[in-house]
Amino acid sequence: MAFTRTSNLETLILAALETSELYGLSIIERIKETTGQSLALGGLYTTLHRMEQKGFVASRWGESTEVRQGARRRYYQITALGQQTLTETRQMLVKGLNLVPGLASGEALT
Amino acid sequence: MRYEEEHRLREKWFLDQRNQAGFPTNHSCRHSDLFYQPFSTPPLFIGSPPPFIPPPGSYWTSQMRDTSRMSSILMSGTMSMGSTTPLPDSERDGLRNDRFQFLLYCIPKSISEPWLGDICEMRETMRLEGYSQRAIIWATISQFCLLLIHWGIYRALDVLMPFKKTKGE
Repeated sequence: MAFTRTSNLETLILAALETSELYGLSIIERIKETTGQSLALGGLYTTLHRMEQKGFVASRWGESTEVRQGARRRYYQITALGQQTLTETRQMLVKGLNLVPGLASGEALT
Repeated sequence: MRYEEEHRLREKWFLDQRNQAGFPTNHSCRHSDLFYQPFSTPPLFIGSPPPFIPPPGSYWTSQMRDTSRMSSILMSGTMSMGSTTPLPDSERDGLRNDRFQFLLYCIPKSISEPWLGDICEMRETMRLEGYSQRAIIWATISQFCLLLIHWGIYRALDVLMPFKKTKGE
């Protein structure tokens, strides 16, 4: 089976976008809530740009608020390819965890 | 004798101006008059001088010394602004945004515009949470540097590895 490699950050972003469409700051907040990891905005947007080129995510321009001073939000959502890649990554992680002694199965992690 | 009389009148004029303007230092005078017109002599008044109202935005010296020699006045010390109107936060942020937009010209708009908006939101959140202005500026600069570094690495990898393996190939 051909497997598309994704970085840890890409996997985290795909997981965050799995349930709903989000923009930059909300992606960071969701990842922080779930994993406790803080991401830099610069790194996030560069990664999202790369993921969009790979076809993992799709984006659209959103609204602009007064606080943002004219800059529009950009909303990202996971594509079918991104969803498939995330599923494959998840399965691979579970299989990999099964190899670790002491961990009976990775079902609790799915 | 004539110089002594002139000096006495000049000193009185300065003291009167200081008292009317309500400055705490002993020798305060209007800096713009003395610094930009060094050869003009202060007017001599008979009786009480007219009331002196400083214009907004005037500069004032904290120390001044009359040498009583060649009618010259030496001024030293720090200058303080008389009355200024600071820019509101929104305008200052706007100016900074313009600078950022200039600095972000090499980055595509699909990255720079949402990044800039998110930075504005982040700064506002930090301000509401009570972070100091210095911390907010530092966070902004850090985020800006991280964006440039990430974008630089991304472009470098693009140049070094032009052929990418995609799914199905």
